[in-house]
Amino acid sequence: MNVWLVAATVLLAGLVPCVFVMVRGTLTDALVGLELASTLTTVVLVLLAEGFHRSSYFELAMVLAALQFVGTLVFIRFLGDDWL
Amino acid sequence: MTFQVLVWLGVAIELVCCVGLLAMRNAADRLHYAGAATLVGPSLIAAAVCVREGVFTTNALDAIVTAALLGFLGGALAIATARAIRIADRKTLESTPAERKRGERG
Repeated sequence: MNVWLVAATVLLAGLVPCVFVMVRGTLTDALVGLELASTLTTVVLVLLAEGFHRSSYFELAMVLAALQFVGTLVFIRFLGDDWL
Repeated sequence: MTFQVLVWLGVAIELVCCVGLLAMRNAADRLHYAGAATLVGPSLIAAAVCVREGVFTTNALDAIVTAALLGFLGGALAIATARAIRIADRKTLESTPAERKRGERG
């Protein structure tokens, strides 16, 4: 285990508050929790890619960074009309 | 080691944002922490990768692009989410008379 992998493991603990807010909060709270959880996952993937010394793993983090934007916008668009 | 300081600083800031998300009472306050987490932590992690690998390497450039994507798109996403929260709370984006008055004074 190097410092990158330890940091990735520690950062995974940050997903617990996000999931808690998503489960217990309102829909808008859950939206914000989803945003933060996506960011955390992207950072964890960057740390894992550096920790394993695989440059191809960075592509996954990059794609997730772009897709989390689109995904959350879709949630906002479709939840916005009726449920928010 | 400089890169270790940057990594742990980035991780600490991300965790502080998670605690802030849990501690705040409403979605608008929570959004501030989610917004901060898209910019500060990833930038520090990308800086750590740059220090470790050198700036003009594949890993460092990928980390920089990822942090930039998170920073720019995260800002846009925070604005969109704030508008959705506002509409969910007040049913309109228009400011109230009290808010307009505060704006005039400020």
